[in-house]
Amino acid sequence: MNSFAKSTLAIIIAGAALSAGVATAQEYPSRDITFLVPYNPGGATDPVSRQFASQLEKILRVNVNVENRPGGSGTIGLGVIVRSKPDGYTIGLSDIGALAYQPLINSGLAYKTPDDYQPIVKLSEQPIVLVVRADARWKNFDEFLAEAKKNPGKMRVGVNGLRTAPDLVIQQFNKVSGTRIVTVPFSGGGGEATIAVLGGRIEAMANSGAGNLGHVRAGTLRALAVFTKGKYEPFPDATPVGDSYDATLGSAFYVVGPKGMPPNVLNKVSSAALQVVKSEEFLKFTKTHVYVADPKDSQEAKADILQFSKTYVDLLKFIEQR
Amino acid sequence: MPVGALEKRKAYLAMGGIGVVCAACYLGLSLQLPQGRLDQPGPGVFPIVVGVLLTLASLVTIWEGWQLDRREQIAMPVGSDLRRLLGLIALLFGFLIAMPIVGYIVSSALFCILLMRILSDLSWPRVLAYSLAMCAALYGAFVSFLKVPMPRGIWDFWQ
Amino acid sequence: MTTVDGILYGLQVVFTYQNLLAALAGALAGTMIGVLPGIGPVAGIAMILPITYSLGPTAGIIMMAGIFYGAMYGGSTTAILINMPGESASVMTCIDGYKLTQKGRAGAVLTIVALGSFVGGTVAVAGVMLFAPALGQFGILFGPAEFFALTAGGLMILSRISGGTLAAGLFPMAIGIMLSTVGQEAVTGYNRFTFGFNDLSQGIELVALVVGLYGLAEIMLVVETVHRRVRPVKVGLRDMMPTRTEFRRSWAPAGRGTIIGFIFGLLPGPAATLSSFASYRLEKAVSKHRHEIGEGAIEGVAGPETANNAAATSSMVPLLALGIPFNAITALMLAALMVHGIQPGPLLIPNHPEIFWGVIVSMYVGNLVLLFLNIPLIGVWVSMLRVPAYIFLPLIVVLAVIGSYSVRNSIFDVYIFLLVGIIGYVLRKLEFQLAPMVIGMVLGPLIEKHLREGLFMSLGEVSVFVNSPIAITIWILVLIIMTFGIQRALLERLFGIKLGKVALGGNE
Repeated sequence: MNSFAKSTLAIIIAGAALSAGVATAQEYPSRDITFLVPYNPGGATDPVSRQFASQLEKILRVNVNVENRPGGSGTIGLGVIVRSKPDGYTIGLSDIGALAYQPLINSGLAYKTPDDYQPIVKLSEQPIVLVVRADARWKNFDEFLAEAKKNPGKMRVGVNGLRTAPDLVIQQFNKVSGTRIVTVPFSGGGGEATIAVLGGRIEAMANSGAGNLGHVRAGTLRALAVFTKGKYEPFPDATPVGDSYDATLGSAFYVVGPKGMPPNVLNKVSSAALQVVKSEEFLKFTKTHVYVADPKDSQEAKADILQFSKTYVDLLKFIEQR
Repeated sequence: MPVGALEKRKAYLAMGGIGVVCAACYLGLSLQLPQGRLDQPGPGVFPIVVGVLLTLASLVTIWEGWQLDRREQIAMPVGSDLRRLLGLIALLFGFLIAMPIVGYIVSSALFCILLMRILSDLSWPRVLAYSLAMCAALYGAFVSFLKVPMPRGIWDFWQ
Repeated sequence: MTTVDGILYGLQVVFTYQNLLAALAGALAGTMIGVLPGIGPVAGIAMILPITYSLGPTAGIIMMAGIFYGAMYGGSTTAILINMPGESASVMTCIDGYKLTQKGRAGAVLTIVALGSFVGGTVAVAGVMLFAPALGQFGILFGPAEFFALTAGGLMILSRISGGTLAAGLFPMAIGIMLSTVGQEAVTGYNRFTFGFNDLSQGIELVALVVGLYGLAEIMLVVETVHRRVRPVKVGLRDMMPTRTEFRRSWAPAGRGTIIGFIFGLLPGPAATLSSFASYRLEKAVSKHRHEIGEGAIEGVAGPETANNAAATSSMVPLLALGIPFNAITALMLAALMVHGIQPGPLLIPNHPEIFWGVIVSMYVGNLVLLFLNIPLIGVWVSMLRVPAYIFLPLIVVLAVIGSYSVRNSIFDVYIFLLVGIIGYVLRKLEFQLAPMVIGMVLGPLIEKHLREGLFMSLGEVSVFVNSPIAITIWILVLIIMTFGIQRALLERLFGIKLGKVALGGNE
């Protein structure tokens, strides 16, 4: 290396050191925040992340850049969040599957319990909806269930991969109702299970409602049941299973950060986040996008995750027994 | 024009041998995966098929290598050609190892400068000028405009 | 709404300031994305997805469609010029395209590709326009059994796609399938061969593999021999134009490519990539010049390049008619629609005619623009070959690194790019074929998925795979194609018929 290159490098390093000093001296947030989304752009989590980020921007008055880090059922992106510096400049979305279910079956993760990361806020939930072809012989969920009880192990419900949220809620239903509905994985995205139902290859499919709303409204598919307590607004005709059985596992989305964030930073970001999820604008957004708003602050969110975790442990025992 | 040579037959046999070893390890690992039942085939079923396929393919490679004429040669780089090639590989390793540590901007600039120097007889100032212009253009297009979040490494605190 | 009404309505939609700009910007951006090695349409659309959120839904979809088919125009450029596919749909184009470049026909090949892409794209738009709702039902006919036949049969047919000895194709293919099993498998979410590294559970990214295998390996070969390379001679305008023979030899493969591409686009999966494989294989079987394919024949470029454009276009059918995205790109478009609160589904066409007809008409306009854009650009691309190596090589390497990284924003993918590049270099030296490795990587996971999901679905009945008429038909076709050589020899021996003389595609 000649003297020119040496001096260039020296200048760069000096400049960096200088700006580092400036950055720490300022109050949080003084620069752009990175918001990691552990799924592909275009996944179900993308719109809600961008909505949340754009509202957070307005409150914190800095840019909140959404970055996609897909892979490993959401564990790769969550791993990046967990391992990042706890300075409040890297936070991200995660879903209950990656937070509570994956650590039970995957030992190589950077986290195990909610103590290994910092829950910031709960964004929303998405219940699972059971649909059949519009001309199916079951007019309602009771008829479907009656046939399932008569033919254990014969009724097939398509899900987007085993041990995903739709599969788990069907297994939960099997457990509490003593039925044996079979789940069939269609891992190439929600579309494959839909065409399998439309083509009459399987009896029904279960997924988050958003994917099939268009078909239900067009009258090509019919929503038989929804795994919630009480009616689910976008599907008024679906039977709420949660009213009679304890089977209401769905998808739930949270904002999390690495553990060990300084108290003033954590306070600022979590109160801003809570302000977002409780805002009119966010509630309106969740409604049009078929999410169920469920604003919870960081303490409640943590308790919520632990509750899910317990349910999953019991459910896993049940699945393994069979 | 210095060109080295390698007997193609040996290369084929070596490749097939590596393939067989790979396939054996792969099959060993596959057998530890859950196989499931016929109505619930597990994650171990397909890898076994693949392992057998790889074994067959490796054996075919060895068989074809065995049949090859000993005079068939593969041109291998020697002298300055080899040095340039190894230089490129070393630079690439350096670039990619350095990227998460010192960040994309610094590592890509250094990589360009050094690779350009290896490939040409240009003077240092010109190499620097060309490389920095190129890296600045790429940075502007992808990182600033299209927002590809290239690693920032130790510059993480910086905007 | 009749077709004519629809077109008139679509014209009104497209010829507004914003939508026209979206179509042009999309087509332009797509061409650039296609030309840049390693940055394929998926990564490209993902990069501009936030921009489309700020446009209206119609303009957003028009722009994304423009990027998709624009990338199909541009994707072959680097494949032909420097043996480096811009995306996986251009892998097949490398084989003959690059050989033709070495013969000094780069300009002519690029012209044929631009024309072929235009034909494929435009014919496919017409197909989409006339038959969209009916064709939407076509995908429903395909379940795990049919797809297993298509993918497993396809693998058998494609194993010897690019000539050479048996080992030269089989060995890389087996390696490709093996690599595809690394990581978390989709069906049950089990981590395979990750050795406890969580980064490995995301699997090996196809883009990083393709760019490393072709691009980096080629760069290593160029670096090795950089001082002995002959600078390409300046190409005059006459060399830019294909000869009459080249034209005549291209139209039949382009026609077959359009049909293949259109059909593949209606099915789930990576349609553009699969259709280019299928078209190349078909040309090798039926073309009159099949013995030249692999050694630099225009058929080997015209077919696949037309097919991938037709597939890109017709893959809009399941999205628009059923609201079901069959590949990663249409999934992104679906997301863009949903952001604007539009529910895709069978009611999309009646409820939102502005989107359907707007996209259709924008695709006609976009294809026309791309043709007039790409023909003059060919001169620019070809002259890029004359850029000195010391500028060109660092530029390409850094671009490829950005490309590999940008797909998943993952440094791990960049390491894969480097490792696969070294493997590719060794395979090239041994005269192994690289295309089968990509084929194995693409088809391996699909075969496994459909095999296992078929068994799940049938509750363990193996007979499900041969119970459907479509699956049986596919298997019979596979058998016919695989034994083509034997049948030909048999017919010639028995009846003295020279099949070469009656092959499709006109006179000798």
